[in-house]
Amino acid sequence: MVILVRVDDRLLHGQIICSWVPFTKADSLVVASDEAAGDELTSEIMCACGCEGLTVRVEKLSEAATRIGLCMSCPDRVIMIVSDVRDAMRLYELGMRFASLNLGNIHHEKNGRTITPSVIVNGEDEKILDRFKLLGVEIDIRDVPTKEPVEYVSRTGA
Amino acid sequence: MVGAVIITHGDISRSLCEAAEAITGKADMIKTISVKSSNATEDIRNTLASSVKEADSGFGVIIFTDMFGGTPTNIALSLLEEGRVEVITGVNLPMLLKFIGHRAEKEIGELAVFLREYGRNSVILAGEMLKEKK
Repeated sequence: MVILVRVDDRLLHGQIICSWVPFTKADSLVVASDEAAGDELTSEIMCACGCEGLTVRVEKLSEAATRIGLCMSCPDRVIMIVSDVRDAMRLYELGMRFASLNLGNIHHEKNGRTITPSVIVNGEDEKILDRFKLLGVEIDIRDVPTKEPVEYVSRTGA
Repeated sequence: MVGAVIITHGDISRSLCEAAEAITGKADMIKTISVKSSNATEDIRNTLASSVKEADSGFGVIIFTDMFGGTPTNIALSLLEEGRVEVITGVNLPMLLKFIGHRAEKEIGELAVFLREYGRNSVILAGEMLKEKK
């Protein structure tokens, strides 16, 4: 079962391993990224962050969505990480459903709007986030779970 | 002389360097980088790459990072180059002091292994050690 879907352009790092994993009691991390899955060194480094009680897998987005995202009988408590909101929407379009989408790190400084110091979204991001809102997906903006989530307010007021 | 870049979450890097220099005196060719949550990964990578270049006097550079699995380490690993750039995670003050003391006399590969061992051995559970002595 996927218990958290997170957008993070740093993919797997300290905030996830040291904060989100204990907070959500996750026992599995799935990095859903075509780029990371295609890079052997990156995959190896990420998988080395696993330990007893925590498996780490790096998978192509479509594999992650269909094999884990759509598996209702999967006993693992999975955190799925994608690098940007576009990939989060691809998960959704591949049939995966999630009630909430966590935005942790997005750094689109070029023509970007700063929502929090670590979440700076551009026009394309906002279009996708507006679509998520219409689909009823709650947008949860915070880097670590101990913070209060910041609300996403669309530029268009949607 | 082997160069160094210390790259960590927040300002640990700068403070660690300042603490070491308070003990050894000014140390040359040690660059520090503080990674903040507002920094874009690509910008950090570029800063690190140029710091490594600046710290290299021909004998290679050791990149010290705070934690395996963290962003500073993840970025540092992309610059690994045998014999020229080594990465050591879990930097601590004893390790850094030892680096300053031995950087001129060991080649980078040997120095990196030595510092890893030294850094590990400098973590002591004081109560246990005192018990053993009794």
